[in-house]
Amino acid sequence: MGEGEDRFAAYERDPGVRFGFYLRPSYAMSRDQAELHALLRRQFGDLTITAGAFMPHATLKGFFRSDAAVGDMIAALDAALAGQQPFTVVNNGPVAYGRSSVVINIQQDEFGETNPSIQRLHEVSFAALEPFVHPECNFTPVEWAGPTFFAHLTLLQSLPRPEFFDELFAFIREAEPIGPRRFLAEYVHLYAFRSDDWTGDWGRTLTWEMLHSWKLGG
Amino acid sequence: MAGPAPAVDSGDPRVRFGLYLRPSYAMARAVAAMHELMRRQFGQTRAGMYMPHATIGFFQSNAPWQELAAAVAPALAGRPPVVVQNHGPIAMGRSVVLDIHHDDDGSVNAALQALHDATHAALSPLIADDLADRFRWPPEMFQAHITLAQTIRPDWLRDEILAFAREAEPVGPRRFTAAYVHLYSVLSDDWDADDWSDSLRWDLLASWRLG
Repeated sequence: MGEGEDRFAAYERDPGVRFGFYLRPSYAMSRDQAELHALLRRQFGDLTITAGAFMPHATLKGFFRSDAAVGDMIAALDAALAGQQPFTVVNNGPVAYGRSSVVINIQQDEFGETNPSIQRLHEVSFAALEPFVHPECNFTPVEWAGPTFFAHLTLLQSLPRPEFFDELFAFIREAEPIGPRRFLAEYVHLYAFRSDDWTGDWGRTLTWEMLHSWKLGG
Repeated sequence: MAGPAPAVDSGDPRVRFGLYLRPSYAMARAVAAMHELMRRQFGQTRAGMYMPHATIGFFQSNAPWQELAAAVAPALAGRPPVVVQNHGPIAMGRSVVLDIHHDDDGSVNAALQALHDATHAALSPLIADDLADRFRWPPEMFQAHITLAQTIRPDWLRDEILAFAREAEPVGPRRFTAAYVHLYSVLSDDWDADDWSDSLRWDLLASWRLG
């Protein structure tokens, strides 16, 4: 991995850093999601900048501020992920979140029931990371977690002008199918993020670095 | 984060407005892919500085954009979506474009021409005579197209790029329904400079759904 204390130290005890723990989609899913991010940006401009500022991912533990050592987070996740196996994710297509976001719903399995593997992966990783969350974290208190967790792959995020939402949602639906109907979830990643404005329009200046990767069942 | 529409200073000589027909998803995807390949293979970046679009009007105006939008709205009201025929890449001056001006039988796409003429008439009173760019495409010069490579530099590369674009055929669907018209602000630091497109940026101001 080439990990070193120096690389992690750059993110530690810095109030301008947030961390996130994500499921990485398969190649085919990743390619289609990234292509749509790029096309939305090309066709509609900076209105759509936020989703593509991220790598393709499904959030397991969303943005959190922490003063903990990155090595301690990795150790906690090592323990939490032991015994977690790769599993099949079902792509249920794009759905709207209000009038600002569009996501691919991957919360349910083939039968419309909550996918127990992704729900469990969320719960064990959330429980492992929660003790590291800074008391003044501005994201974790409003996060959809536990029973309100909803696994998704974001296509459009935080559209600043809701009057364009219906057109963008229709454009995205024209792109269907976006990615394969099913893919194997095998890898999870810990990231560090920086933004110039964590309480405002953070997507415009978002940058990130992968800190660690785990292969499920590996 | 919900936010206001961007502030546009219409009196700024760097500001132009574009009234554009937005292609369908499939057409937009194919055009964006060609723009990217034009940049990668030939270093041609101009077309890709814009969003995929078919120009209805490109002009300068001192009127606030809200006034332009208010003038365009009645000219679009009641118009159905336009079925557009894609006749593939052709040369247009120093550019290579997709010809979408004609129907299957070779006659001018009447719905597209009518949409152009109506919006042109609606906007004309808001464009002062002394402005540098009154209209790049007056009614008699209108030729509907989607640009793949714009004002190619060096100009002797145009025929090779046209042949390259024809190798890519079909570029997008042969037919698509254009259901949206967009008003943009488009800004360049110097429209008269050779490198006008290097500083190009734009914002979507208003969108109308036809029909």
